[in-house]
Amino acid sequence: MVTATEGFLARGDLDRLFQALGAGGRRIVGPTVVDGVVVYDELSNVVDLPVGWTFETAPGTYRATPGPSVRAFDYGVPPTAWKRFTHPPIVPLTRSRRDGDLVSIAPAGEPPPRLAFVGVRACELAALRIQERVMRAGPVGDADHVARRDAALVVAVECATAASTCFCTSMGTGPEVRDGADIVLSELDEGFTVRAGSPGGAAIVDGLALPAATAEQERRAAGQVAAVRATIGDPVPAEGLPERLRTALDHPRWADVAERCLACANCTLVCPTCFCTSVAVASDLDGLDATTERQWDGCFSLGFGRVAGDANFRPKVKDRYRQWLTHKFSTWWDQFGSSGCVGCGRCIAWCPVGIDVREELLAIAPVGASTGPVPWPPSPAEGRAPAELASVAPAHHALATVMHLVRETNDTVTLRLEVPDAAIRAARPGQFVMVEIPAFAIPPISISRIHPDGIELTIRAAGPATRALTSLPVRAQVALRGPFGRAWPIASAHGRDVVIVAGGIGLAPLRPVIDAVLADRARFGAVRLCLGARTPRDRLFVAEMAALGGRVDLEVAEIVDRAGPEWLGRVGIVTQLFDRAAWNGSTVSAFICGPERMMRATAAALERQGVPPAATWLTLERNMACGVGTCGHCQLGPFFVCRDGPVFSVAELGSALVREGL
Amino acid sequence: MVGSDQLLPDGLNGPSSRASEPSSGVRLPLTIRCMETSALTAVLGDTWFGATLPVAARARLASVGQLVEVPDGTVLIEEDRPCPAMGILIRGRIALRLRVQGVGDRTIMTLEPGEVFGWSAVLPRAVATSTCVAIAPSVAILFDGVGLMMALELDDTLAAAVYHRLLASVARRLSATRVQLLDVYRAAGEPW
Amino acid sequence: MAAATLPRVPLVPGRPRAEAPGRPRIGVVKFASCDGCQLTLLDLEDELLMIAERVDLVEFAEATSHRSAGPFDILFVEGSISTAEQAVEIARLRAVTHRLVTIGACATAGGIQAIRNWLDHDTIRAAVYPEPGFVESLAEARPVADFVAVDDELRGCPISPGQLREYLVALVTGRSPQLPDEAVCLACKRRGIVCVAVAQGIPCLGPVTRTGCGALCPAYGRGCYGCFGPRESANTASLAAWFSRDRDGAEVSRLFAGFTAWAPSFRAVVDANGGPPRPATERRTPNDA
Repeated sequence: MVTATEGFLARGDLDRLFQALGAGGRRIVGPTVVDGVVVYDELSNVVDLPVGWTFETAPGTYRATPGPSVRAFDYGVPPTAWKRFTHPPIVPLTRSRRDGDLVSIAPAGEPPPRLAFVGVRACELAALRIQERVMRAGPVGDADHVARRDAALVVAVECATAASTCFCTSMGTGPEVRDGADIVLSELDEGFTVRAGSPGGAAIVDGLALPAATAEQERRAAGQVAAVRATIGDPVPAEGLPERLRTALDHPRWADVAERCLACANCTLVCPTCFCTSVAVASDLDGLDATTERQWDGCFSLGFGRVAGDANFRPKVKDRYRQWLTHKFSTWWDQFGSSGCVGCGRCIAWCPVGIDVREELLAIAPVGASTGPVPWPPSPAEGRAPAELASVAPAHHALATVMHLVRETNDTVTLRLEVPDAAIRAARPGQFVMVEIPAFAIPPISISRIHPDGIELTIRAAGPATRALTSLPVRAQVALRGPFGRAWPIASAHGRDVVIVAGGIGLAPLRPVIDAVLADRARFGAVRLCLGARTPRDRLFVAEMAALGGRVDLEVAEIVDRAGPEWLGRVGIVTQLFDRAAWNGSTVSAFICGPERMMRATAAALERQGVPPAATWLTLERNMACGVGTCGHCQLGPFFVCRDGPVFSVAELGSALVREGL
Repeated sequence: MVGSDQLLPDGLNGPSSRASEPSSGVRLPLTIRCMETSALTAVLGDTWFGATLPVAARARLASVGQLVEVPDGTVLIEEDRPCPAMGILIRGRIALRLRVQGVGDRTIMTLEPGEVFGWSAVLPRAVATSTCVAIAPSVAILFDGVGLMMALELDDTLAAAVYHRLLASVARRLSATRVQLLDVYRAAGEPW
Repeated sequence: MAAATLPRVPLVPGRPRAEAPGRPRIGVVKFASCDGCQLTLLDLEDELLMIAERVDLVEFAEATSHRSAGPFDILFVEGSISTAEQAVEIARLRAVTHRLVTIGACATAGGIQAIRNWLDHDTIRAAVYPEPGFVESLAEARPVADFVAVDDELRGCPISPGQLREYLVALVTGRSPQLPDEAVCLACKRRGIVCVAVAQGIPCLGPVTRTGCGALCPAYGRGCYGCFGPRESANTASLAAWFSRDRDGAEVSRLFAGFTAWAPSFRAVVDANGGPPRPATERRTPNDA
């Protein structure tokens, strides 16, 4: 908490503060002029500060100009956000090497520099807090972010001027600095009032042995920030905004803004809270030595929403803009308990075509708008069982060795892996791992069987990385991260009938469910297995399923989409296996996995059979990359599929399951 | 209940591996179970189609139906040929097949007990649009097309009930076919 | 070597054996262009030798005198198709190529010479050549994809050595090349370059242009002039409307009528603003040159 004013720092003494901050080799980052624009960069000295520079912003415009003022902190909100230093644009992740069958992989990167951030605005403090909540969320934090943030000292400067694009007042983040800084300055012409906000900050301020600020100085400091508040007003009334947006998913304005939006991603890149990243892989010519690094990305890139099958969940600019705006102002609350917007206005000024987020919000979700049907349960935190989060560090890789392979179909192979890593061996049915061969992209693969000494992965060769995985020789190594995601809630089906519906490769993540149910058979009622496949030749685990079909304590029914006359089994779609069955649906727990369209049809058919949506579980496929909800790729409305799923109940998803473009 | 070999209505075939084989005038190894109408009414009542039909309607339908028992391989209805009867499968499995030149027969759907086949019999021209083959020993009720059409034309209540159920069957099969058309399980590219 | 166990680029079925088994046969050919993109291959310098050890470079006029009629596992094609002979030749090459990759603005979008597509062919010929009768050219300079199927594109004027390297490495290791189709803006922001459009009012095509250059022009305080051509979902209409707030149509047209003017979404802006600016050559007499 920021204390009362502890002193007054004369303008000429600012250098003393810089020296105190720089003690012990700490580098100072703050505002400075580069090519006629104020940016945050490393400062060698107080003379690097943008003394006299003022600024003007408007949608699509930012102009900084030198002037006669003695003040150094009237430059407004620069294009740089502090995330450049806490969540840098490019972060090395791993170095890996393949040597014959052996793989080695190690974290890349160096210990973060110790920095002092000077000139942090109230809105930016809020942004640092918000990003921290994202990157530190859950049982594991993003190690790089945590290290950088912990190594940084924050000197805030309260705003004495406001830009036309500012709306911190509406977002409740400023302009007054309340907490989150080590030291807080208010700039007056003759110097700075100084407050300490942390023990570390207090130590530095004490060391300066400052005279007390006068009451008049304190009054002027308070007066100028009050004037900023008055100037900004309340341009975007935030009360009820998350709800208003959530129910405005079909507003015609989305199409209107998409006509103007360039989907260039500038808003997400200048936003101080946007955290999405993608992983880039590089290698030497033989693909033996490889590196991965993560880089800023965003929901405006087409590739961001891609999944297998050349499918893309947000092909249209309209979908991407809606994702950005609803995430920032609505689903961020569901995910992190706060707004994702701090009202700094960067996205307004730095939009190359001047789209003003305030205007769009007021048009799409005006105050007093009647709210429509809620697309998903309003608070996932309350509405669903707490996600069983991964407890492994995202940078931790475990090596696994291929013990043997089973060629299931002409394009699908099951790898039996020996895994020394205890965490992966403790995986639960439904969880997935990220599988890496150096130099290749890193796919998420569901675990298809859990053994005491390892796991099985059933992989369809559909791209270069999965082709490489399905061509591995016995004894080859792969690097795994995981296990990630929420498991199938098998215990919730105790005492109930079980229906397992699998489509195609979707049988792989369900096989551990079958294993678990059969291992504990007495705790379940009737068990029915409904298997769909493209053709008879595309069926997985054929011998195993045939053996199950011979058991008296479960029913196995198969159906294929197309077949020749030699196939005497069923042809049609998987729902035809049960849509006229005379079950008591209310006692059924269902577990579904397959292509999304098949799961929708299955969920609907089960609901007509009386199976409760809260007992109908399915596993979604999204572009999972980090596995712990920090890269942003797999978002679906309020959910991170990697972390909150991939297993969801139909009730939890609400209309998110059927809605396009989320 | 008496079982005997009889000549089936024109167009119903015996076991055949090739659906394109000429079919007329063949004596078929079918077992036709001549049942009392009341017994057939009861069988009908156990099916999805007949369960919720009014009793009178069920009996009227049963009066134009015959219970047949066929070995697997029996071609009951042949694509592009007259469709003499509509059926309800009671036991076994029937494949609906289309001929594709150069490829041979493709099974586009299979039917399970309770499902309807041969609905072309109540459509104008009554030409079958697919071949119906028993792919397991099967039992079905066959309704003579002409008799059924007459019954439906004379009895609006019966017609409403039957057409309602036929529509439900057509809709179910259509929506399944649509999903099959999407070919959702096909292997496609990945971002990895 | 473990790499040998991984899948390689599928080779042309039935082709003659490569000089070394398993090594992809690569060719580099050019049509109407300046050779700058081919030369990017030479810019790979040290790595070029390493690449040469892993592929058979069977056709590359800039580096070897060897000539090949094909077949090619990979054929890099530079230049636009501007003459009837070129149209015949590209069709022949396509037939003997497994994967055809266009390189550079000319091959992918028609190039700077496609600006003549808006002008009268005979007038242009007469303006440029003393004896236009000797010059046989098509009325339009067009991208390779207008004539044959193209499997991959390396964009730019010239192409980026980094992207070329990435493509070649992906090729020899059997993985997917990472050639993002996002806006230049992402590279600009990752580099920490302050947006020249917003901060200085310089018109910049970065938001509608495919990344790959590393934000070269904005790094030097210039607006992007779109040499990599349109990115996916390039909303050129919106950007042009923004430019039009303080520019006349001719100026807006000039901004888009650059190295990739003939790319459809750029062309649409040029068309909507009265075509490209008239070049001086139209007024020039042959002797002025």
